[in-house]
Amino acid sequence: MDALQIEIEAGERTQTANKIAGSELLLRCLVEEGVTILFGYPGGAIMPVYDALYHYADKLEHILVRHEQGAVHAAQGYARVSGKVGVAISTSGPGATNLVTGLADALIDSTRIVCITGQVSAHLLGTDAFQEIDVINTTTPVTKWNIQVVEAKDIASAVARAFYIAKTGRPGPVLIDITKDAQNELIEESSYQKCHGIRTYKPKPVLNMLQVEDAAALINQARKPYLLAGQGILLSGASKELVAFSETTGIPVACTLLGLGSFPTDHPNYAGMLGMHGNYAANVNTNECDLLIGVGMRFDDRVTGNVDRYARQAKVIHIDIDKAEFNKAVKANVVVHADAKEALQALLCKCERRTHEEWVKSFRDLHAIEYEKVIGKEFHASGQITMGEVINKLSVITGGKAVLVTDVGQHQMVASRYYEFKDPGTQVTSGGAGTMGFALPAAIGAKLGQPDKQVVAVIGDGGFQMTLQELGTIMQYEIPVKIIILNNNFLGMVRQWQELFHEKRYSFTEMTNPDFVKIAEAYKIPAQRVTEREDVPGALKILVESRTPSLLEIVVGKEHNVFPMVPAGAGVADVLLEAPAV
Amino acid sequence: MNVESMKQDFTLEITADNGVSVLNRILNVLSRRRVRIKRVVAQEREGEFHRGAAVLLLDTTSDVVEKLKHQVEKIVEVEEAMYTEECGSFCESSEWNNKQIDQTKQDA
Repeated sequence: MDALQIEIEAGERTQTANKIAGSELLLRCLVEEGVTILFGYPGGAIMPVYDALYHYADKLEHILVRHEQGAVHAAQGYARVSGKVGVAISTSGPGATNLVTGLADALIDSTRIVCITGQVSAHLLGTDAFQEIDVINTTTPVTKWNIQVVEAKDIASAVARAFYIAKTGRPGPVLIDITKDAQNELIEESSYQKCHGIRTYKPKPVLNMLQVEDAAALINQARKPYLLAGQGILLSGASKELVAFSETTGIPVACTLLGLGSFPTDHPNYAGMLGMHGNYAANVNTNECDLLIGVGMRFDDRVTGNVDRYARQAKVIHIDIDKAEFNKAVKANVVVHADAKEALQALLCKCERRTHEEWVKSFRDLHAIEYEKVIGKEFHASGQITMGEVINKLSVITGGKAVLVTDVGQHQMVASRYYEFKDPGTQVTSGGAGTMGFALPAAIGAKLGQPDKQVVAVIGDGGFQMTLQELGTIMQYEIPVKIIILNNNFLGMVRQWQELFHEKRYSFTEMTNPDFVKIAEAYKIPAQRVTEREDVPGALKILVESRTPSLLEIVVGKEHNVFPMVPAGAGVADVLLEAPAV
Repeated sequence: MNVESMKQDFTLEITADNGVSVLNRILNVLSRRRVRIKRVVAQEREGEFHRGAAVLLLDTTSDVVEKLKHQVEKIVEVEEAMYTEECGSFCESSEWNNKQIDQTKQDA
């Protein structure tokens, strides 16, 4: 052996004076990228990395989840509230495929995460070895970028590029698959070089002032302009610019599901939430405006309804960082290919100070109709507890300042519409993918990403049972996440559709549920079940003020429906406030 | 007018860094939209093994091919995507392929 290479044995960990293993190099790279927390689950092909992690406890906190899907959703929740890159780690084969749902979710919702998977040694690739799955081909459709590393010398550059790609431009998920032999291989130490550019990748468009001027001209001419704010506002940190733009131009602002929090809900120009279960005014006035300005949003089909009947009367300005979104769903008269913040700043200089009082008032008038027919009835209901009244009370108790993490279904739509978000980055949900089971692990990540903020997960009884094993993670690390299960003993949204559009044939949507309180208590999480209206405020207060993780199950109306609703295939102006007469 | 009758030949030319899964990513974009690939040639650039080009003859509509161009250009390794109507450009670009086929025939 070379005399200069003195082997230092630490368990099975091998290091030489001048060389380190690929596994340790990976961790050093993560530290260099500013990573402080990992969500993961060990296994055979990632064991060298876990062995190295044992010695990195002071630099990298590892959260042992109970399923790899939990790791990726936790990384998403962490990324969404912290603005940092979330990191998930798993082994090969099923460990890697369990990440796929979260990767797909992060891709459609533009969430910056890096997933690291172990892989069988290079000589076993393609041989159907134990826990060998072609992770690159499996994850190609659900990642912004992925790479397989088979030599330790390529680890640092792969990590550098992965983080750069994940967080620049339109953010997204990236996966690094590292063979076990590369993890074990010893290589010379060298200093880490962060990535600052890739020849073929142009994440930041140069603002085209001609496009800005065209957009400003349309805005200055418009009599009934209407701005739709998407998550791009939050990702570019443009909330202040959006408020300033709205106040200067007098333009009302509605938010997409993922754009909630980008504009204060108590602002006089706030028009509500868009979409299939969005607010009445926000939907109806889409087909009344003369100019529609989409900023950092993609005219998702849940927002547009039947696109052939969507804002046909209006001119459209589309501002987005992703060129592929232009004219994908809705034809635009003017596109501005730019970061939302830059575009709004530039437009602010070009747009005239205006008010549109009558136009803004029309939103309030329509909202009054919604309040009379829907909101008031939910907030002041008799009979069974409604989801709406629970969320309304939660919003009041937390002052709209908590991070609200929701799952998917009826409770998600109700929570998104009635929780009065005051700040950017306080809403975490699964939008484009609609992933049930998202909320509980995402809330874990959100709490670790914003430890000083109250984090409340609102989940349905169906979605909760998809990832409830993560209560174990909450227990082990004593993560003070507050969990509210809105239990209607149904897969409520599907049941609603069955009631309205399938003649009430409740095909496999009713659930016989376990005792959620006992489940929580088995994980040493204090829990309470509420069935009576008068107990709701007190129980919510106890939950919110608790210093420990806690769970509150609230039994809500079994067959309550969520309105407003744009039925499938209908135009946004055909939004229903109640069930159609049979 | 029905969509089938609006379809025609388009040649999509793509230059990209030649990574392991780049061609897969390009084909994924096409397959997601159920675009029929009539012909495809992919090759490394001479003397630049890390850079490559792909030329695809597609049967689709002008609306879809415009969207495909932008979606393909989102792929990190893709430098540029351009399309032209008909197969003229494809035939020109695929000269290399034809030469290879001729060579194979001669070898046989």
